Amino acid sequence: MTKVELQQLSKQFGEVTAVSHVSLTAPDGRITALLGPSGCGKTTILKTIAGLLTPSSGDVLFNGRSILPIPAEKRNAVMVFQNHLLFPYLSVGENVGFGLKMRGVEAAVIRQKVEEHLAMVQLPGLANRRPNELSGGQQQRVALARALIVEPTVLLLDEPLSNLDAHLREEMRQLIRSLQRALNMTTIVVTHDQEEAVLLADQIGLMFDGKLAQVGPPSDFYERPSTRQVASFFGATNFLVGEKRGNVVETAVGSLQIAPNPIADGPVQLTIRPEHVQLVPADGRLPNQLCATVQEAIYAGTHTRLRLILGSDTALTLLTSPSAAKTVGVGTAVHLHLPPDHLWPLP
Amino acid sequence: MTRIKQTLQPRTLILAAIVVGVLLPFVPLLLWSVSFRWLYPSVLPESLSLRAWQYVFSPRAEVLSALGYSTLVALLVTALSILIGLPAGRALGLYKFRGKTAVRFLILAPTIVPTLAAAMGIHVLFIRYGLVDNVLGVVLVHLIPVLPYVVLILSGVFANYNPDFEAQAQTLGASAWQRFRHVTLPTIFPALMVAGLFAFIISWSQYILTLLIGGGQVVTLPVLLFSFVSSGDNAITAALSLVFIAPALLFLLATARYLSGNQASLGGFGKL
Ligand SMILES: Nc1ncnc2c1ncn2[C@@H]1O[C@H](COP(=O)(O)OP(=O)(O)OP(=O)(O)O)[C@@H](O)[C@H]1O
Ligand SMILES: [Mg+2]
Repeated sequence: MTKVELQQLSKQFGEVTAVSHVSLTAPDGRITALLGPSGCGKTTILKTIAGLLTPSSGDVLFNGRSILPIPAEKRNAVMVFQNHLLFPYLSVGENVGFGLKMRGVEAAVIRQKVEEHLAMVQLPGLANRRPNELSGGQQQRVALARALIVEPTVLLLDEPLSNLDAHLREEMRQLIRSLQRALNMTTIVVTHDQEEAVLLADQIGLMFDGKLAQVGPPSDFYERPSTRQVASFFGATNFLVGEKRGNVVETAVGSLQIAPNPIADGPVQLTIRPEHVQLVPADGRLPNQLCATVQEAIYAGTHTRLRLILGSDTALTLLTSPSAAKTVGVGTAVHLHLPPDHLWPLP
Repeated sequence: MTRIKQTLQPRTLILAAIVVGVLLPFVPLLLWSVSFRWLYPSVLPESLSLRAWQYVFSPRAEVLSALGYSTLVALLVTALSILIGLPAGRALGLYKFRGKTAVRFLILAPTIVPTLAAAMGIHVLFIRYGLVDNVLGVVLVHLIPVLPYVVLILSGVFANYNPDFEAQAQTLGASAWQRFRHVTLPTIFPALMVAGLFAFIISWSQYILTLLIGGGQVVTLPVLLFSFVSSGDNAITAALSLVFIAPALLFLLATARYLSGNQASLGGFGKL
């Protein structure tokens, strides 16, 4: 039962600043995802929590107490590396039992616990195999069992799904979620895939260039992104430049109503997710109605993506059902509705 | 059945060729050691005798004492060279640091510079510190030709070494010693065997350095052997040669399986 706090954590490698003033709380018994593009400092943070790296400044707290003086081998913060790192000279069982052997646990107890944990990751009876006799997905699960067997206070997973194909990803994701729920273990997952973070985590910390851009539940990143960069990372493509005054924003395509929100008046960018832009019949009763021309229709099986031009050069994308898209060919004029509570202003 | 035979045959042939090739040179030595009279045109000795072997194993010959000295020196050199070569090889193979090329060159220098030249200079120094005429001095001077090979082999294996395995063990609760014992050691074990083999054999076959620093007090097998070569007694020289070669050969056979070409431990040579 551990709450993990990062306070103003920074890490330099010589000239390179890998992590800069990151403050984040990973709540007890929840999954927190550290999300961000390659090289933004995710692994560095994970290794700092594990004790494999010393921060340049800032602090790491477990349940309110700094753990920086404690060496990695005593922290019980177990990291599962990106490429699983099973010891090739040990059997699968010896790999899983490694942590217990280091703690001097009796061989018979280890053997029994190894079987239990192999069963837990759905690999019963494979204790005598060699790691290279397992598939990639099985190796990943053995690495997970090897971490879980020592009952870590914090489980640190670095890209646990990145080496797996789509089908195995789904399976592994469910396994991680169900084990985490059953064991109620504070877990921090590193990933560069926003979909994975959303499906796996209770809380996401999104990072760019060593800095934390936004922290919150997954839905926040769709509904209340803090910057254009955050919105783009989560797949937003529609941005309208304008001047905000109260609940109205003047843009190049007209004045638009928005829902009440805490953003200060002044220049803003309005964003709306493609799935929230609606095609409507031409009548004047809805607010935020606009005329547009269809420029391109991209069929994607479950939906069709329409690219539209408003006015002279404002582009918008919307998602609609393939059947609805049939009625609007390329070049036709359409009417759009931008629901005020889905228009979100970015500073 | 026939298919298995076919795939086995070339291998067995090659193996047989190697065994014959390695062992053939010993046949004349063996014959010499038991010959009494062996004059030019005859293919085999005219009469046989165990005189040479009786002499070799008699206390008078001091062969056993020389065998003891050689073994003691070679084992100490092996242990010491690995103790030094392990951290040096790790630093050279794993880490980037300024002056790495210079350090690498300095370590390799003894393989290029004639050791005798260096030993002459060292001799003076060794006299001052009381390191001549004793085993310790001989062991230290043997390190000069031995260390380059040991460091080279070990830096080769560390060049392909992933230190994340140690980090993984550490987060699982392994102490520094446990990480060495359960991660580093099993990973580099084959290279360690090869390095040990090189150290042992190079030390085992040193002559001039031993003579120079040992000053006739540390009589190892090569020192003894050369005194017989100059005496011109072929039978005893041959018997002694066999005694000299046997332990090295045994050591080689014991570690041969680590010498196969696909071992990462030999990667260091690719870098030369
Ligand atoms: N040991 C190191 N020495 C020097 N620079 C390093 C070191 N480790 C990481 N870095 C640098 O720090 C930055 C962050 O690296 P980090 O591995 O934390 O990124 P990441 O977010 O995990 O990326 P990825 O998704 O590619 O794994 C990178 O610019 C990297 O080059
Ligand atoms: Mg990483």
